[in-house]
Amino acid sequence: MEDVILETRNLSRRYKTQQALHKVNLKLKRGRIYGLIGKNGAGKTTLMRMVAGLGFPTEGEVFLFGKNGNQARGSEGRRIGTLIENPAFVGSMTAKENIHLQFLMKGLPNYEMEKELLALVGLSDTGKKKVKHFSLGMKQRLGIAAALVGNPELLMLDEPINGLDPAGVIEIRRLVKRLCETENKTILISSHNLPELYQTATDYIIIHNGEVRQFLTHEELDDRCKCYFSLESTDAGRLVTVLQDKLHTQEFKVMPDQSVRLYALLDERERVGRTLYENGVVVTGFALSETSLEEYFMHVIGGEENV
Amino acid sequence: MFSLLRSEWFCVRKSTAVKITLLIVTALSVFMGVYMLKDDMYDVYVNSENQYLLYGGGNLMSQMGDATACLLVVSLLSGWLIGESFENRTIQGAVSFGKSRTKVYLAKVTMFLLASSFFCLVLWFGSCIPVFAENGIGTAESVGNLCRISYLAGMVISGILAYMSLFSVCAVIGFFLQKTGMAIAFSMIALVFGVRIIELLVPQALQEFLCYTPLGLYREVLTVHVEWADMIRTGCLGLVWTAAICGIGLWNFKRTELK
Repeated sequence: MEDVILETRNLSRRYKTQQALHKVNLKLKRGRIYGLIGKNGAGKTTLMRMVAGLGFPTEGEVFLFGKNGNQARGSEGRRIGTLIENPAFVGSMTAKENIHLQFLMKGLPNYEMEKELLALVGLSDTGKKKVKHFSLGMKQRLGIAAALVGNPELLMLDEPINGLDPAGVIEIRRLVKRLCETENKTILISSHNLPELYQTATDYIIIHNGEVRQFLTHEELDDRCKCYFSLESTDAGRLVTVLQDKLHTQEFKVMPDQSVRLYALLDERERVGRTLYENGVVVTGFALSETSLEEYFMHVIGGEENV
Repeated sequence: MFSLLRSEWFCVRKSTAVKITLLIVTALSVFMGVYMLKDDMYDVYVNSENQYLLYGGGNLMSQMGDATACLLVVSLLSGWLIGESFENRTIQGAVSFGKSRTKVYLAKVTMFLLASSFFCLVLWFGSCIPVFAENGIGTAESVGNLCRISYLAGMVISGILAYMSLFSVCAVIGFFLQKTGMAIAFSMIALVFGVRIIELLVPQALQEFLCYTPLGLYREVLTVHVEWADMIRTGCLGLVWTAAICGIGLWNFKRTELK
């Protein structure tokens, strides 16, 4: 079943002089894990806050389970679990009391789930310890447990592995994958930790300066990360002109050593070579190379000047 | 709405800050009540023609007139019950779960006003219990209409409703500032000093109108000769002001981005 859980249409948000989101169009389907990638201030949290109803878009719409507007927020909002920025908890309460509070607030009667949820995130033996005395990792886990109250179909987790030790990161990864695979939940997860996200997500949304730069599946990312043409020429300027004007692509990057990495037209090696030759570009090196996830991300968001 | 009220009540019950404040308020009020019964205070009350202070009815009325103590406690509650809910993100959690902002706001404000009123009642009654126990409610000659339980109850209810209009300012401040410390500080400044400043700034010709505003509404029923008409008018005006002030807060909350 591949029905659309969340859809945004031209979602935009402007804060005075800053465009936090610009015409974001997304369609998230059931049973997928979407990795939201972007540097600080790219708009990841703003996007999640708009979907969660914590902020108001200046333009565009959010469709939850096919409905939009206040009706969607009221009736479909309870099908969403969120962990945005910091986990929601009361420091003077225990983990169990905090989960109980979530059940009360959401008007859910099944308190038996409290123990199950705490066990799920490894907090079942915290006893009477107040949450304010928890480590950052424990607070993150409690936040995830709180987000899971009510068995939501869409889970939005903003930097959920922040502060977790390596074992905690692995636990959360397994938990997220299990929720997706066994309960068919849709999970939108943002992180700065690209290698970790690579091991978790099935789809990737690369966002930069409030715009979705790319929306690709794990397989597509694999393809794009693996390969690019490394082109060397006696005249890099001419080479760039031919790529733009004759091959109609912008998906390349001029490296400091004047070589050019071409990320597009990977299946058209012959056409690329012929076009360059026909337009007088002397190619001294033409090789298929690989790029790392980080390199690919940097390329998509516009190079190292954006670091 | 009921689920939100239940969760609010759960938070109040579990709040360490609220428990400690309740303990301090109770101890202080009982101490004050016992202090009023000291033998040397008797002459002071009689000589200053305030002998009504020696009886339960009059004493309760006097305690209710001390707005400063109430407002200090209510300022603390605005931080702990409202400002802290933004900081610990429980409000954001409720909104993102699909609860309407109006319901979240109303549940929070309702619990805040009830808790504030409860604390004030503890403060007032705690101070009066020793006097009630020692000298009784009083007679018509000493405490006027307040010698009757029905009038006393009417005065307390209408007084609380009048005070609620002032407390609701704290609620709005809490929702506006969304920080525990800031909500407490600004509520104290606004209510303890702000009220005095407004009273000083209002021209003499308009001073009498202050008694129809939250600033002076509660004083309308704090008299030994209080009548039912005064109590009903004050109670109704208190409700209208509370609704108006909370309405402004709701209007702002519905347009506020939650961080």
